[in-house]
Amino acid sequence: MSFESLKRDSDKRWLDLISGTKPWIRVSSTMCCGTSLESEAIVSEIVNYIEKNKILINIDTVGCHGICYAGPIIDILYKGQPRIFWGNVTQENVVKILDSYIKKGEILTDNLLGSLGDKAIEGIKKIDDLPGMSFQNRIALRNSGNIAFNDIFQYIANGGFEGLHKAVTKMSSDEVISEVKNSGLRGRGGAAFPTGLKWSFMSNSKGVKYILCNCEEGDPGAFNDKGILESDPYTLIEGMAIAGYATKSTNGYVFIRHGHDGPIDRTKEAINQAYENGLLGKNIFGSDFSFDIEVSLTGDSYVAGEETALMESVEGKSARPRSRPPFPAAYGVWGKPSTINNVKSLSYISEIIRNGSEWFKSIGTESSSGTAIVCLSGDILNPGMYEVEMGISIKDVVEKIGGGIPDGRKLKMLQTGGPLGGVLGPDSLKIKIDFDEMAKAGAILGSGGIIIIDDRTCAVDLTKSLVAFCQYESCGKCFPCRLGMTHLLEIVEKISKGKGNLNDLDLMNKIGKNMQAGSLCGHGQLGYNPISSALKHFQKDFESCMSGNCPTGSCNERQIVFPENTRPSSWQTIKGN
Amino acid sequence: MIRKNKIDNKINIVIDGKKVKVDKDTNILQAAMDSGIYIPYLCYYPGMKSYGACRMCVVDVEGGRGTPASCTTPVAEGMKVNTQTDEIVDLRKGIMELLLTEHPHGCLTCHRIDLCGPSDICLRHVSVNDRCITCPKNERCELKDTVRSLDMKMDSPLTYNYRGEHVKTDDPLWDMDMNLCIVCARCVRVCSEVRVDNVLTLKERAGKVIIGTSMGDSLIDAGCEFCGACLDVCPTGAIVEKDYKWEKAETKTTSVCNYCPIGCTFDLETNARNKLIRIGSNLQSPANRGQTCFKGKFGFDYVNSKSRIKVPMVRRGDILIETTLQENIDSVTEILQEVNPNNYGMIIDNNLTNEDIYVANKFAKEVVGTNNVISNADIDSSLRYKLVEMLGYSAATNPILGLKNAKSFLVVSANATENHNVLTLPIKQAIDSGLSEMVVIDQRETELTKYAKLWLKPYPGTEADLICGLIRSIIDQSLENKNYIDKFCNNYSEFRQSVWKFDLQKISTLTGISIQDINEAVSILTKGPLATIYSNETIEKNNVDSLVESLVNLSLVTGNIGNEYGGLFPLYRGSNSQGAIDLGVTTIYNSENNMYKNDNRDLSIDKLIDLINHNQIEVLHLIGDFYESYNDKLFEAIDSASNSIKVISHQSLIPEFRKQFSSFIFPSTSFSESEGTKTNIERRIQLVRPGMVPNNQQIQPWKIIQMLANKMNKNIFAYNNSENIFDDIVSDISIYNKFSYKLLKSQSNITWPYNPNNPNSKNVLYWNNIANTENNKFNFSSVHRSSNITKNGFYLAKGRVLNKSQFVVDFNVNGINSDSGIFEVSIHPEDAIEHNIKQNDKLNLSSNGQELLQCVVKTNGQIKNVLNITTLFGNMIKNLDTSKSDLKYYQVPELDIIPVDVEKI
Repeated sequence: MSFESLKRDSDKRWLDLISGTKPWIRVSSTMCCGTSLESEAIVSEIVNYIEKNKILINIDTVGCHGICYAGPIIDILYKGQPRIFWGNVTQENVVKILDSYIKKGEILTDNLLGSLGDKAIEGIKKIDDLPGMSFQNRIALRNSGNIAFNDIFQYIANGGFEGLHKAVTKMSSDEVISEVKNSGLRGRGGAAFPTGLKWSFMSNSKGVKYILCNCEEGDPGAFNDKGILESDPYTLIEGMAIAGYATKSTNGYVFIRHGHDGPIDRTKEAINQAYENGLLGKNIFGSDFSFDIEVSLTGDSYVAGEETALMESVEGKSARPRSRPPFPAAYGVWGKPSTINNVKSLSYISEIIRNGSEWFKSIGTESSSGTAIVCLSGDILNPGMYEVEMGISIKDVVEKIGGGIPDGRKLKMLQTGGPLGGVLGPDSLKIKIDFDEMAKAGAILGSGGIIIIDDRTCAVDLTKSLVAFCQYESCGKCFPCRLGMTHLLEIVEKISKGKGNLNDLDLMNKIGKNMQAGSLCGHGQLGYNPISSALKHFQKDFESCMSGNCPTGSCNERQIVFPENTRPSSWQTIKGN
Repeated sequence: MIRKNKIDNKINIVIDGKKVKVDKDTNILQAAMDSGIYIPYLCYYPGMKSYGACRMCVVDVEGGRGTPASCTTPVAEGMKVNTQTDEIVDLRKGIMELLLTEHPHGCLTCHRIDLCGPSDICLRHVSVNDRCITCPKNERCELKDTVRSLDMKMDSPLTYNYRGEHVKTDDPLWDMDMNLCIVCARCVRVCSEVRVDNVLTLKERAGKVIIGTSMGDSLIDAGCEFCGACLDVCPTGAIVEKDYKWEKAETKTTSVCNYCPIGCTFDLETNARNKLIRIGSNLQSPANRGQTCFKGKFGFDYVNSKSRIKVPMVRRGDILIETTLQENIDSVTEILQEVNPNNYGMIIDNNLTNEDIYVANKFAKEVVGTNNVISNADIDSSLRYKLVEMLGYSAATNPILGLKNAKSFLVVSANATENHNVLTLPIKQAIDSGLSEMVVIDQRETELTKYAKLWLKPYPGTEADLICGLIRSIIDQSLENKNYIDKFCNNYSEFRQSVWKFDLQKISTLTGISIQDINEAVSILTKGPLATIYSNETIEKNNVDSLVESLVNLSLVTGNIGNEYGGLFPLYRGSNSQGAIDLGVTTIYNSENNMYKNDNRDLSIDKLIDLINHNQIEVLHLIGDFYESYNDKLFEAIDSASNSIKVISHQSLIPEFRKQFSSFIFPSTSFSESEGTKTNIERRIQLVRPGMVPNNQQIQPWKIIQMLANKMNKNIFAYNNSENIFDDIVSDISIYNKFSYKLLKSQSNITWPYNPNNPNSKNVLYWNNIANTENNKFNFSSVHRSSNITKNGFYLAKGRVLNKSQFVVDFNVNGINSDSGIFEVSIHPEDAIEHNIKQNDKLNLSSNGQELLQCVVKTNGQIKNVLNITTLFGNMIKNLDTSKSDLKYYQVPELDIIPVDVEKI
C-alpha cells in the first residue's frame, strides 16, 4: 500500500471516529493510571456496560494527559458536542457518568474536568483553562491522550509518518541532518548536546550502523520517556526511522528498562504495526532505505542509561561504562558505529521535519529551542507531566502549573535532573528553564524531573537519600566512584546521626573533587553534586545535624532501606554499632 | 622504502617535556612505558585492551579536557602530556587513599617496616589480617610498589574496612583471597580476552563488586582450564599459587618449557635455597606472549624432588649403589670399548637440548661407530613423512600467532587445548571474534569441539577418506584455488584423477557423515586462509600416512601452504622434537648436509625396540629422562630383555620401577638447570638458560658424553660450553645456517630458514610458495581408498571438557571440590537396540580382559559402534593436584580410542 492510500484509509477511519455518530470513549491507561489507579478495571466496567445495554460505541485506551492529579481520566465525544472530560474516575462512578451522558445527554458535574473543542458548553469550563493545561505547548506529547496507543491509523490520521515520508522521498540524508541542526534541537537526555551535530559525527562507513534510543530513565521523579512510549510510541518510531535515514543506519534498538512492561509492550506492538504497514523494514516507501527496530531490555541498573554502559547491556554484558575514546559514533554496539538519542529528542524529530526547522526554532528560547517536558512530583498540589516552552521560569512551573505547595507550607528545596543534579534552594525559582540558564545557575534540567520538597524535610536527610541512590547505583568499575560514593554515604550517614564534625565537610569535599576529576563516566563525575549543592544552600542544616539537632527531625524518623545493600558486609556491621 | 615504512608508523609526542617517538596506534601509557617514563597504573596490562578503571594513570593533556586516563587515550601527533603536575599527583594520591581503605596496608604503615628482619615475629603492632607477613605477595606486590612511588603520607582520616571474606582454598592449584583484591579486573579480562574461558567475572556492583565465578561455583565447575593466567596478572596477593605461596624469588631466568613443542618461554624463579619456586610470565616471549598451560605453569616441582638422582650410581647385583663419576666413566668406557657397535643402541630423549642431541649423536656415530641411534621423537614421525615427500621439510609451516588471522580451521584428531594448549589461544580468540570458523574431526568430545562450527565424527579409521571426500566436494563445486595449483604444484591431474574414486555417497556411508555435512564443512574450509592442525591421537598407526597425505592435498587444493595465515601444524610430542628431526636423529630429517644424520633409514624407534625385544642390543644408552608415558613401550621391551642388556642412563629423576633396568646412572640436569637451545614447532630456535645450579653432582648429558669420548681416546670433542657445540651445529646443519647464540640473544622473533636479506618472510616456511622439492613445486600425492573397514565390536572414545551441564561438582569434600564421579557413556540408539541396551542401564567396559570402568548408559550417541565418555577436566586437575607422584604432569591421562568389550550388569 502506498503512503497516500494508507493516509486516505487512516483519515477515513479517523473521520468516522470523530463524527460523533457513535459515542467515542477514551480512557487514559498508562502504568500509573492503568496499573496503579485501576483504569483497566474501568475499561472492563465500560465494556460490561456496553454489552448489557447493547449500545454501539467506540472505546479506546489512550495514553497520558499529563495531569496526574486527575487520573484516571475518561472523555466522551458524542453527537457534535465537544469532548467532555471526567477525572478521578472510579469503577463505581463510571457507569453513572456514561448512563447520564449517553442515555440522557446530561453531563454529570461530579468529577467533571471540562470540555475540549471549539464549541463551548455553558457552565462548563474549557479544559485548556485548567492550571496545568494553559501553559503547555504539546509537541512531543501532541497525541498523548488523544489517540489510541495501539492504533497506527489514528497516528497517521494526525499527521503521523508524514515527516518520515517527506524525509525519505523528498530530502537527502544531509538535508535532514542540516534541518535538525538548524532547528536548534538539543539532546533531552541530560547533556543537551545538539542532536543534528551528534548525527553528523556518525561514521560514513558502509554496513551495519545503529540508532539507539535510550529509555532507561532511572532518575527518580522523571517519567516522561515512559509517558511518551506509553501514549504515543509511534512518534518515537518515526523519529528513529528519520534518524536512521539521516545517519544512513540500518538498525535501531529501543532500549527500555527491564520491568517497565507498559512501555515495552506498547513499543513492541507499535513496531509490529509499523512493519505490517511497510513503515519499517525493507525499502521503506519504495526507496532504497531499509531500517529495522527492535526492543532491548536492560538489567535493573541506573548506570545502564549511560550510553556506553547501555551498549554493553545491549550486547548482553553487565552494564558497565566503556572508556572513551573510541566514541560510539565510531565504535558502538557490537563494535559498529552507533548514535544514541533520548526518547524525547527523537520524539520531536517527526514534527521538525514535517513543519520545518524554522517553526521549531520559533518555539522556546534562542539557545534552547522547543519545549521541555517537566515532571512535577513531591510536595506539590498538581503533580504531573507537562510540556512547556523553554524559557518559562521554574516559579511559573511550580506555582502556576503545579498549583504550589499544599497546606500552605513553604518551599524548601527543589531537586532537578535526577539525583546527580543535586539540590536547589528557594532562590532558584527565578531560574528559567533553558539549558544554558540552568547550567549557569548550577542546576541541570537533565531528564526533566522536578521534585518539590517543602520545609518538613531536612537537607541532610534528602542528601542522604540521594547519595544512597548514587552509591547503590554505582557500577563498581572505576575506583574513584566505587570507593568514593561508599565513603561519601558513610560520612553523610554519620552526620545525619549527629556524629559528624566540620572536618567531615572538608573530607567530603576532597573525595568529591577526586571523584569529579578521576571518574570514568558521568555517574562518578557528578556523584558529589548532591552533597556539594546541598552544602551550598543548606550548610546550616548540616551544622545543626552535626550537633544532634536535626532542624526538622526528619533525619531521625526516616530510615533508607534498599533491597540489598551494596557495601561490603563488614561495613554493615560498622553501621550497626 | 623500508625506512620510510618505519617512519610512517611513528609519531612525535612530548611527555613531561621530553620529546619521544612512539607507535602511531598506541595509548599514552604504553607510549610512556616504551619511552622509559613511569606513569603509575594498576588495571592496565600490556597486551590486553585498556580498561580505564583504576584511574591511577591519569595525566594532563595540554589543550584537552579534564584529566583523562592515559591508558585509554590514544596518542596523537604533537600531543603534549604532563604526568607529574601537582593536580595530577594529588588526584592519584586521593584515589589511592580511597583504594587503601579496603586493602590491608599494614605493610606500608607498620613502624617496624625498616626494622623487621626475615625471621622476626610480628607482634601486636598490626592487626592479624593486615600484617605484611599474612600477604603472600609481600614485597612483590604491584600495589605496594605503586603506593611507594606515589610517596604518600599514610595518615588517611577515612575509615578502613576489611572485607572479611573467607579465603577460597578448596580449588586446586591456587588460593583466592578476595580481601586483598582491588577489583582491577585484570584476571577477568585475561580470562575472557586472552584465554576465552570467561571463568572469572565481576560479581555484584557498587562497593560490593568483587571477582568470582558467576554463580559462585567452584573453578572446577565453572570451566577453568587452570592455566594460571590470572595469577600472572594479579597485582596483589588476591590470587596466588598454593605451592611455594610464601616464597620470594631470588633469581629470575628466562628459559623454555619442557612439556610440548610449542616452546613457551617463561621466567624460572628460584629462591635463596636454589629451589625452583615459580614459573613467571614473560611478556616478551615470542611464541606464547606470556601465556602458559597448566603443565608448564604448575608442573615444575619435580626438579626440586628429593628423589632426584644426586650422585652417579652403579648396579651391584640387585641394588644400585652410589659411586664416583670417575669410576662410572671408567666402567662405562670399558663396556663401550668391548661392545660390538651393532649390539649397541642409543636412544635420545626428545626433551633434550639441541646441543645434547648433537653431541650424543656424534658420539654414537663417531666414537662407538654405530648407526643404532634414534630419538624417541621418531614416535611421531608418521605425522611428517608425507610432509617431506610433498612439501620438502618436516615442520609446521606457520607461526602460532598468525593463527589469529586465519579465517577457517580444520582440527583433526588433536586434543590441542590440553596437549598443545598455547597454540589454541589464537584459535579460540579468532573464533570468539566471530570472524573465523572451525571444523573439528574427532570422535572424542574435547574442548575444541565446543568452539567448532561443525564437529564431524567419522567412524574410527575413516578420517582420511573423509578428508578425500572434502577434497572431492571442493573439486565438484570448483572451489579449488586454480591459480595456486597451476603455478606452484606438481601432479595435480593425476591427483584429480585419483580423487574421482571417492564418490561422495560412498564416503558418506563409509564414514557416517552426511553429504550435507561434508558440503557445509567445505563451505567453512574455503572461507579464507585455512589452518590445518592435526595429530594422531585417535588414528591407528597404519592410517596416519594416508591421513596426512590427504590433509596436505587439502591444504594445496585450497592454496594454503606458503601463505601468511594458513598452513599446516602437525602436533607431535616432546619439547625439542623439531630439533631432533633437524639434527637428523629420526627416520626423517630436514637437512641433507648433515654428516651425522641417520644413515640407516630403516632404523626407526620401533625397529630399535624390536632389536631390544630380540636381545640384539647388549648395551643401551639412554640419554635423557623419558618421562612421558608414550615411552612405556620402550621400557616394557627393556624389562623383558633386562637379563641380557646393560642400560646406561643419563637421567635427573628415575621413576622407581625404571630403576631396576639401569646398570649405570649418570645424574643429569633437569630442564631448569640445562643450557643450550631448543627448536619449537614454529622452527624457532630458543635459548635454554639454567635458572638454578645443580644441587648435587648433576651434569648435563653432553659433558659426560664428552668425558666418555675423551676417555675412549677419541679426542674429537673439545667443547668448553654449549655455544661451541652450537657453532658446530650451525656449520653442520644447513638449515641452521646464519644462527648463533649472539643472534638468538639479540633477536627472538626469527625461525629457520633464516635469511637476513628477506625480513618480510614473516617466519612462514615456503614463503612465496616456494617448495623445498626438486623443482621447487609442491607435490600432490594421489590418494587411495582405505581397505574395507570392518565394523564389529565397540570402540570407547574418551573425551574431556572444561564444562558441561551433566557434571555435578560437590563443594568441599574433605577440603577440595570434586565431581560426583558417575560416568555416563553414550551409545548410538541403533547399537542400543541391537545389543538390547536401554537408557540408564549399567555397563561394564573392559579391554583385553582388563576391566576399565562401570558406567551408566545414555542412548544419545552419534557414532555407530563407538561409545563416548566425557569426563571433567577440572576433576582431572584435582586428581593431579592431589597426586603424590613427582612426574604427574608428564603422565596426564591421554584421551584415546580403544576397542572395548561391553557387558551388561
